[in-house]
Amino acid sequence: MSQALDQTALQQAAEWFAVLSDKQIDESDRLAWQAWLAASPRHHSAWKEVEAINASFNKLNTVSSKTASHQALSHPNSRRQALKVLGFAGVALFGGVMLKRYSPWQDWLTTLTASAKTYSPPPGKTATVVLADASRLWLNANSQAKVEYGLMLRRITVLAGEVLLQSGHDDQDRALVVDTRHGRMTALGTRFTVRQETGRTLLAVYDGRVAITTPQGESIIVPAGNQAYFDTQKISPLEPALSAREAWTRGILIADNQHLDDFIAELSNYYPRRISVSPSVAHFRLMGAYPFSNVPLVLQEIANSLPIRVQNDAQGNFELKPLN
Amino acid sequence: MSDSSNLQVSALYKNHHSWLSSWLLKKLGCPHNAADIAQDTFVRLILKSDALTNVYTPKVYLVRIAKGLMIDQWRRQALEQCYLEALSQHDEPFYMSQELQAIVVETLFEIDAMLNRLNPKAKQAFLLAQIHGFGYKEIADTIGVSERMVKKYMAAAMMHCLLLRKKLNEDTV
Repeated sequence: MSQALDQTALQQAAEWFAVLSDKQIDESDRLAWQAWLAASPRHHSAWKEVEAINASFNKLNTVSSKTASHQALSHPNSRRQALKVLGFAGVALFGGVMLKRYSPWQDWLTTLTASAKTYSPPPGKTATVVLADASRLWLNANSQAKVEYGLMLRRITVLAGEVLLQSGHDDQDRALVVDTRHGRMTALGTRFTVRQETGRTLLAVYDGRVAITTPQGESIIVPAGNQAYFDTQKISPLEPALSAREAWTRGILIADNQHLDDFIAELSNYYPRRISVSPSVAHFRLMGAYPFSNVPLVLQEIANSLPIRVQNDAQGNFELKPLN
Repeated sequence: MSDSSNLQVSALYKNHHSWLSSWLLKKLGCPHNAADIAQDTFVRLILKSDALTNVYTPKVYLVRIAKGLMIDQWRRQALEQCYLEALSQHDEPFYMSQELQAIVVETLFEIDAMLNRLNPKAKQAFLLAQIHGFGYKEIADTIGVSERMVKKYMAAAMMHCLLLRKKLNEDTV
């Protein structure tokens, strides 16, 4: 029996159940359901499971008062309640939650039940979003993130760029996860940044801990003060997190002995026009903290500290050139 | 069950039964109840004998089983109490035999265990449909969400139950 019980068939069965449980059902729905049922023995096995669950309720309804069953079942007799009453701390539960592998059905449920909202700041700006659980999400310039709070998960998908997340407390105890195309990060009460690059993702943790899980099933817990790069295949060793990485949430870009061209590449994110760097000055190194709300001023400051000059055209494009 | 796992169980019993009993007594404060749970813990262990090969830390494992049993017991009692209270509030008296009551409590327990970690609104929607036979319009009005959401809740609640059932089946095979 169980070999025929595949996830997809169960999901379809659950969706059909939802179609058919309303009081009025369209005849066309009923026919479509019958066609689905007849299409595969897997569908049949899955539907038998739905019937088994309905059978428990039918049994209850025949022997018991509806109002009393409903009242008893609505009462918070939960496992968590029991743990509290019996004087066990939440540890046993937590252990199970902590390093959960990918469980596709949680994601399915999330997609099904959450109303997705995609955020991206206006060009050249950063943005702060306060989410339903009071989590704060900062989006760096040119970034985009999708937020879905569903039944089982609070899921944030980084579609582009970089975000910083400070997690809030969820009264439904749903896990908070951040996905990039390289894997999943599970927040364990924290503040951290996630930057999706072309071939890899950078996670830097400032507070609490975050678990990374890759699609290959590799996982690691990154404690506060550490950062790690990962891609779909592997997770790099931990290294100290640069606290400078979160400075952008305060409107500051930090150059930490960086090559000029790398720094300008980052600065360009906050400027709607082009900033180019002559190859002959690209290798100069830069240190300092620059408020990126005023890019022309930042460029002027750089010109004061390095042997370069800044040239701009009528459209507002800049070029950094050697002094002569 | 193989002979070797038989041996493992008796070794575990010999080494751990007495501290488990006293730990349970401290938690529960009732010697009979503590003895019952201790006994059930070992019964559960025998039923799960394939898991024995992986027991490196028997104390942790035994405590985990015993805790599970205590929680189940507490929840059964809590459900029974809620149920009887709800019955007593009825305008019309509702009589049932002891046997029937035991069946009801057991069925409530099974359903409650299934719906336990479900989102509260999804659980309410599911109960209103499954117990009261409400249509989605009525459910939507009762819990204050859209009909479309009720339908999603229904699918989610059913999937939740299906997966628990699947897991249960796989565990006992």
